[in-house]
Parts: sequence; C-alpha cells; structure tokens
Amino acid sequence: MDASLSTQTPAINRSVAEIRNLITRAGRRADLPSGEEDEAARAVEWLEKRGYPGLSLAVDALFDEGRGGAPGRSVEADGHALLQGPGIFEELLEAQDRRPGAPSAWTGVLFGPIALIPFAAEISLRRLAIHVRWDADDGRGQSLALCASGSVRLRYAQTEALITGAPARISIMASDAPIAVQGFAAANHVVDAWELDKRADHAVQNGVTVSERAWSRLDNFASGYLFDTRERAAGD
Amino acid sequence: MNVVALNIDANEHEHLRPPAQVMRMARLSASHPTRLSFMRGLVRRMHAEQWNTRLDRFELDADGVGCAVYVVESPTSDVSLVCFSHNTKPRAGGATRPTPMRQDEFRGKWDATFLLFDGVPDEDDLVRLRRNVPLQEAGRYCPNDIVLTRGLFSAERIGAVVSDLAGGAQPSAAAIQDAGFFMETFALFGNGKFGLAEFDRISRIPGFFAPFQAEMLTLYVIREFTLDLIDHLAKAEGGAQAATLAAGHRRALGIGNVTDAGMAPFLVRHPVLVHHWVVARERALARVRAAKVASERQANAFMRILARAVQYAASWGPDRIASAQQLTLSRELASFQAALSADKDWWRRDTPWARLMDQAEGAGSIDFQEMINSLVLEPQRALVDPLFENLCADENFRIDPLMPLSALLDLIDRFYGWALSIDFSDPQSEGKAWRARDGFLGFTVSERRDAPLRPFDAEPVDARLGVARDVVRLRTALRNESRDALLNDRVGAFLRRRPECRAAVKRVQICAKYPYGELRENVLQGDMAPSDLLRFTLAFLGADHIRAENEDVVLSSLYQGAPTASEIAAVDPDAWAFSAGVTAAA
Repeated sequence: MDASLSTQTPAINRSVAEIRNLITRAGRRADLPSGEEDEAARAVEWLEKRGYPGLSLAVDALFDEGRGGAPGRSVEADGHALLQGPGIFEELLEAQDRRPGAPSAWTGVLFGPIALIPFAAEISLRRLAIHVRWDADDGRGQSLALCASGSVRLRYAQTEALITGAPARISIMASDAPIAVQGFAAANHVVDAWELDKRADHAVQNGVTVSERAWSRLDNFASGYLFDTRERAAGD
Repeated sequence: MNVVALNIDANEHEHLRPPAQVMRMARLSASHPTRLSFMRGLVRRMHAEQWNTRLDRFELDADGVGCAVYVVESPTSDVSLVCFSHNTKPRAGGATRPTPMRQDEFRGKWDATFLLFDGVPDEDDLVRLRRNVPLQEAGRYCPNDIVLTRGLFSAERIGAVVSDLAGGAQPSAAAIQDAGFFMETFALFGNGKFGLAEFDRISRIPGFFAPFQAEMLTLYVIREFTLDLIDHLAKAEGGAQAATLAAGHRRALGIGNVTDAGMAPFLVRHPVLVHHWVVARERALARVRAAKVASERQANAFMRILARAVQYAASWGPDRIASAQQLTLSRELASFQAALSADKDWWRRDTPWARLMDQAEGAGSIDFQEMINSLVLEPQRALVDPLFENLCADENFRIDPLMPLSALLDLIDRFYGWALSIDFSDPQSEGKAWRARDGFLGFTVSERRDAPLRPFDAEPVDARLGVARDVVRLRTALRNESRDALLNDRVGAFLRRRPECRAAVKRVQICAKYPYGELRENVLQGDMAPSDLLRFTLAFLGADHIRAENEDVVLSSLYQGAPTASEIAAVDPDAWAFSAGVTAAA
C-alpha cells in the first residue's frame, strides 16, 4: 500500500471474503436498504484490494467519525449516502442515455469521495468515461480519478484530506468521448490499471492488510447483537 | 427466454425443459447425482491426468491418534491434506453426533480435523496448523490453507472391522455394505473464511477451476485416510498376523456427510451459479433426448447402470421425511427394469432415449423421472462430459439503471407469476424464520418468527431469502408509481426514490438473464423443509443415498464405489455411479 494512504494504525491480515462479509453484516446492522449492503461491501472490497482504506471510510460512513462519533449516515451527497454511490452513477448513465454524446455532470457535497472510485471504475467498464473532481472548502481542488472506457487511471494527491472525512465538493462528469488526460497536473501520483490489477491480484493471493482499529469497530458493531463465539474456549 | 440468452443452438433449445418445470422444489429435491456432479468431474480429471496421492507422513499412535499428511500430485501442482486424528474410541454415552445446527458447540470435540493445504507443508506450517485446525472456526488460517473440515468416526463399526482384520480375516462383504463408511464429515469451510484462501485464488490452481473441486478432493482424501487408519488400527491390535482391507472393500467404502440447514439457502443465494449448473444438466438431457439412435454398447451400459440403480434404491437408508417416495422409487425402478428387459429392441427404435424419458414422465413419480434422467446420461460421455466445463460463473452482477420501469414490470409479470399467486396476507406465507449464524457462516431455521433466539442466532435476516415476498412488494411499489413515471422513468431514478427495492430489482434483472437460477418457491413458507433445498445441492456435489434425518439435517454417502487413490489411474473413472449400497466382491 502506498505510504501516503497508510492508515498509520496497527494492521492485521484479512481475506477479501472476510472484508466483504464484515461490511455486509455491518450494513445490515446499520439498516441499510436491502441490497445496498452488497454495494457497500463491493466498494470497500474494491478499495481494500487496491491498497485504499475502504474499511476506514466505512467507519466514517457508519459512525460519522470526525463529527462527534454519533452513529448515523451523514456522509452523504445531495441525499445519497456515501455507501449509496451507485445511485449517483445511475443518474449519470441515465443522462447519457437521454443525450448521447453530451457530457453530463453531477455535483454535490461529499465526505470521503475516494469511496466513489470503485463505482466510477465499474461504470467505466460500460464504455463511458468518468472524471471525478473534488474541491475542498478551503479552495483546494484536485482531479481524483479518470476512468476511461474500460480502463482505470486513478490519481490522487493530498489524500489524507480525502480519507479523514473533510467535506469536499465533488464533480463527476461522464461522457462517451475520451477525456483529455493532459488536464491533470503532472506532479500528481498516477496509478494506472496495470498497477491496480497487480494490487488486487496480490490481495487475492495473500490477503489484505487492514486497519485493526477500523476492523474492530466494524466487527463489534456488526456482532453487537450476537453471542460472541470468539470468547468461547475450545471445548466449551 | 430466448436462444441467444442461453447461448445454445436451436436444436438443443427445442428439447430443453422450461424453468417453470425444472425449478420447482418437488423436482429439484428429487435430483440424483449425474455425470456432471462435482465428484464425478473430479475423479475423471484425476484419472485423465494421472494424479498421484502419496503418504508424506503417518504419525499415529496405537490408538490412531496423531497426524498424517497426504500429498496429491497433479501434473501442474501439489496440494496436501493435513489430518489430525484426536480420538477413535467410542464415546461414553454412545451417540457422538452433535445436536443439529449446534456444531459450534462441538468445538474441540471432533474425532478428526482436516485442512487442505496448497503445496506441501513444512514443519513450521505443521506447527501452525496443529495449533489451529483442531479449533476449527476458532482457529486462524492463511491463504495457503484451502479447505477446513472435521469428522466423527463411527467407532463402534470400526471396532468390528478392525477385530476381523487384526485376526487376519477380511470382514464380510455384507458388513462392508452395511457400514458404507466409517467417518461422518460435517461442515466444509473455504472461500476466505477465517483467512482461508479465496475462491479466486483456489480457482487458479489447475484442476480447481470448477466449483467445489477443492472441497470434493478434501473429502476424497479423507476417505483414503479413514481406510489407512483402519489398517493401522488392525496392525496395532493384531501385529504381524493382521490383514489389510482388501481392494474391493476399500473401494466399497466411502465417507458419510452430515449437512444441516446452514447450507440450505445456497440454492437461493447463488442464482447465477445455480443457473449454470442447471442449464448444464438440462442441456445434457436435451442433447440425449435429441439423439436419434442408440448403439448396442450404449444400450448395454444403460441396462447395467439401471440394474445397479435398482439395488441402490433398494438399499437406501431410511429417510425420515420421504420414506414413502423412497419405496415408490424402488418399486418403479424394478418394474421399469423388468419391462425394459422384456423389450430387447427398445434401443433400436428412433430417439430411444427420448422414449425412455417420456415413458418415465408419463407413468412415474418425480423421483423416478429424475432418476431416469440421471441414468440416461450415463452412457453418453461425448454428449455430456464437455458440459462440465460450463459449471463456473462470474457471480458479479450490476443493476442496469437504464432499464425502463415498464420493462421491469414486464419482467416481473413474465418470470414471477408463481410468486404473484402467493397470498402474503396468510401468516403461513412467512411462517419460517431464517436466522444468520454468527459471522454469516450459515443459517438456522425455526418455525415461528417470534421464537426465542438461541446462542449463535442473530435476528431474523430472511429478507434476502424471501425473494417471492420482496418481488411482490416491488411490483406493488411499481404499481404505485404514477403513470407518467412508469412510462418514462428508468430503474436508476426509481431506486433513488425507493432504495429499499434495490435487492429485489437486482434479483428480477438476474432472473431475466439467468432464468434457471430462480427457485420458484417461497422458502419462507411455514411448511417448507430445508432438507429439500439440501437434496438438490448435495446431488449436484455427487452425494449418494441422500436422506433426511429430520427437516433440517440430511445424511448422505460420498465416494462409495469410487476408485481409490492407488487404482484411480488404471480403472474406468465413471464405473462407480450408483454404487452406494451395492455389494461388491472383495
């Protein structure tokens, strides 16, 4: 995992299936609408497999971390919970369908916009180009991801701001025309599809190193109403 | 449904049974193993590629307690089964099987625990595995660890056989047939649970690309371990005069399996995968049905397998739920065999296999029809076996947000008529409560939704199993949309207004694309028996003599009659179908 995205907390190794299972359970515990827990699990899995802190983002989403810690789903954009990312892209796709060839855009305030990247990547496989841009309240702005027709080019900078839940205005633009790559600042770190695939493959082969803190919080939350078998000794 | 959607040719399509006929509980629960079952596919591959199974270590004491490692060598990879034997003696109090659905409480009490390992474990691996594998779910595993399972010895039955062998004699063929197996296995864990290898990783091991191949190999080698253990115990008791199990006896013994309701929802939760399994089987049947002629060799092969099936059905252990169906099947098979034996030219007529299938459909029970369907596939290697490659599926499915709402409504009316006829105002329509076990390791089921929670139970989570109910609710939601919305809106916009319908929308879109993936029954219905769901899955795995212990627990036999590891390279890998309960010479 890239150092700039490290969660800087003690880490443990988990399988991809365990991550997916945990988010599914937590999503159900959080009473997400039926089916959204799967989308959330898919998004977090996508991020963690590629070295991004999906679990920490899920903690932000489910516990409103950084804004008092009260349980809730206030990580949202124009009424879309962060874990409802697909809805945003569905909107874009519809717009594309109605006005083929014309770029369409969606803008809203979003916390933790990096969580949208998996959805952008999937949408790109439908042969649409997606351009995600975030603008923080302090005026900083950054192009976050470019997912163009079947491939993903992900660029990030100042990512700590993205993953700590700082509010940002997000613009997502879809087009069936290629988006010019040269619009990005050259100094930014760029991760291309090959690098992302390599990371995902490594995760499948070796498991994923995840934040122990984020894991514990989500696991305790998801298991809160269950008899905790892990406290039972063998043979009990 | 159209030809393009299933990607098959028109001739095959013409003979395909429709999903409305196939995907009913009564028919699926009457399934029997076929050439396409996962065990059959594995044994064929082991034979074709000349897999070699060797004993790497066998460190058991005189009581059979200790560790053994078997290495299975294929042309491109090695995997190992690590066996920990903890107890082979009868337990005080007799019965040893854990209470149904309470295997979690049995932790640390299993007679034997097993792990399939990618490669050959070194000493450090074995130290780690020795600490974790006996703990089963409470242990922690790594990506080299593929499958985890456990078992209980049939200690009383082993004792008699060991005594015979220790005295230098072979047990009788009848004793071997009565026993059937000397170990019952329980849950098989894999696919990333507790840190085990992901399926995506396992499927890259050559030979393991198809579903459940690693699990089926695990069970195959456990059978080998059980047979070697019997010889070991006999030698420990009888010394130099002890005999070893004769080859025929080894072949006739399989292993047992106990499956509880935890696995029952698999059929509902994996529609894309189930579609691929069912379509492969239905295509095989369609191909056989379309065959214009049969050869004499095929006819003789069919008569041999039919004769074996008659014995197989007659020796079936008691089914606590379907004993009447068992008796009927046995009678129908015997009668069918007699009629066919009297008609020596049956195979010389046009489309002889279609005639047999029609005859069964016209006169027999569903169990009988499905048994004949399994049997007619047996002499059809060329038509059937290539379809084994079609059993895998990518289960990722994304909602199509651009689908017009009117089209979604049409799909519901077209594919879910069976659900729309269910009266959900009747409490019995939701009389069955499914609850997730800790960590979503499986499910328990209880009769009443307000039944008190037991340890390891979560709150009811049947939302994703109540497909019929959720689709009916989705249709109601769509009907409540304005006329303008129905005419002009897309699924994406609808889901932003009604996010709670996401799972149901996805299900309908999946069913439209994979119509053989949807069980056309309400699994929340009060009189639904989880054992019926289990029978289909177990038959596809290749389990024999599937019989319900009660509504929630199903027993079965695995690999009875299959070639053992030492003979697999030399013998016909398909000659063991329906061997369970059939007396074999030692």
